[in-house]
Amino acid sequence: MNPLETKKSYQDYVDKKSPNSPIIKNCFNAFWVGGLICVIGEIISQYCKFRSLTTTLSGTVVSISLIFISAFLTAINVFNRIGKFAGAREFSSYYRIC
Amino acid sequence: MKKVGNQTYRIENPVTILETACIVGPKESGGPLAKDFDKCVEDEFYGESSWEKAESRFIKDTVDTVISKSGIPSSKIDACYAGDLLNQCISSSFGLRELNIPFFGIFGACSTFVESLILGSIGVDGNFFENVLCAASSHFCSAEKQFRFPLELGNQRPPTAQWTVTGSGACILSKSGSGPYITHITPGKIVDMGIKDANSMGAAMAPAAIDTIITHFKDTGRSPNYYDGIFTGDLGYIGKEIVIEMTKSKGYNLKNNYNDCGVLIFDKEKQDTHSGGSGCACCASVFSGHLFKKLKDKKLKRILLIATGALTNSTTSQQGESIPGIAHAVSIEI
Amino acid sequence: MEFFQNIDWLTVLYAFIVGGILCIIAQILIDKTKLTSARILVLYVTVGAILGGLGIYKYLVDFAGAGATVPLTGFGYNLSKGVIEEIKQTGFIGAFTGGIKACAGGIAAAIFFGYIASLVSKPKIKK
Repeated sequence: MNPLETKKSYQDYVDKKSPNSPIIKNCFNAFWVGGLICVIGEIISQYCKFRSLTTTLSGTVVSISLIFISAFLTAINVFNRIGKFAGAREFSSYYRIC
Repeated sequence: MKKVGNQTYRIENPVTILETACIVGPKESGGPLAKDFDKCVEDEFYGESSWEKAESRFIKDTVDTVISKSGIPSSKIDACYAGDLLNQCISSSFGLRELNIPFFGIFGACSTFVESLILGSIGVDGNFFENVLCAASSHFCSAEKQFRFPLELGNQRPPTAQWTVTGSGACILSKSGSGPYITHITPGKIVDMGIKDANSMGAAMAPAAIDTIITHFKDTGRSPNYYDGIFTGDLGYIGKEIVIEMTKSKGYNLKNNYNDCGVLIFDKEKQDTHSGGSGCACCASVFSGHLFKKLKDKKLKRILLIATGALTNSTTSQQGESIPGIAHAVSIEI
Repeated sequence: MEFFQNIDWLTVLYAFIVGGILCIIAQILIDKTKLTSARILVLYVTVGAILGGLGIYKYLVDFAGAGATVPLTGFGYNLSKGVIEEIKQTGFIGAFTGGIKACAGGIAAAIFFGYIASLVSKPKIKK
């Protein structure tokens, strides 16, 4: 059948033609970059608790620090390189849009 | 001008493409066609303070270049057809506001350049105008900002995404001159095959290109082999493949002499542009730089140029509408 | 340096793994669906708020620390936690004030740092 006959058949044809995203590579990068950001957060959090801040206050300090880091990296134009490389969207957008 | 077939017109009074010019940005100057462009700018801002101002400056400088190259005083140019991708075509109108030439702002998305050639040659063929200026521009950063996401968000681009060409192309059509001539025009119809993905423009526009190409061959009675080269505007790798396959199933073999400007302008492997180039400037700069030189040197004698456009905007794509495509064709011969 | 001897490395490891897995899920959503990133963000916050409200997310936070609170689901969790606590203290009106109160530091920081960054920096093209 000619794919140009209906919208449905054309969509199927295009989906077959379009290359897929390199999902394994993307997931691997998202995993370690995302994990690393959490590790930074966890260490800041433990440091706050070590300095005997309450759990709630430590959480706030973690947010503020990470937001500062990402705003800073965005300002010096590093962030979009990390974003392109690692996806890791959950963090990047959070810290700028929030 | 005489109508041949359903949709094609033969130009009776010869319309010469007198001169062309094109200026491109840094990414394009790193591509395989760099040596064919008049000027390669090393700074995306082009010395301005915003992407929009930069794009306006691209089209302004390109138009100034083509006018000075042609040697025709701007008072002798009767009309200017120009367009771009930004809202209300502000790059053209802001860039050309000091031009002092009667101005028509046109929008055909990425098909704008060939649309302007068609309208310009109608004006010249009909004895309305002596000389007409045609121009189009686009800018990667202003287009991403308007149609997709802010650059700073650092979104990932899927493999089907295309890279908007930064730059501008312009040419002067004239009643007098010794070629290359615009001989036939085939204005295209809007074709919408229901593609909704704003990152898959090539697939959205390919059906319109197929429709226009086949109509052109049917109307003129020509076969693909009549042309030394058939070039679509900005279908990219995926769209190009679709065009080859679909026209083949209709009995036209384009494999030998067909290519896409979006495929030609970038080096896919080295430049990480995914599915190729796009934007008004894609077709405009490849024609004004690369193809026009080849026509002048008689390396190409007859070409068919089909610019493709995705007639969408950010509101419609957010509302989940599909992307209507359009393709306009001109045949240029020496 | 006394601090480094006191780091609970096991929780750090869990944070890495849980945070990484949450990112993988989001990455799969980006690549396999047509969802825009904005929708995925909202989805994450909503899921976090629901799981927080049901009292499930708390276990993940106890287990993985920042691995659960730093991703956007943690933001949703924080919102729901704030609402619950505020309702206990001030009554019904807490449903409207509690969430923002709990996240106030982060929200203010995002506005403040974002504003400063926009003053000092200039947009640049992607490479």
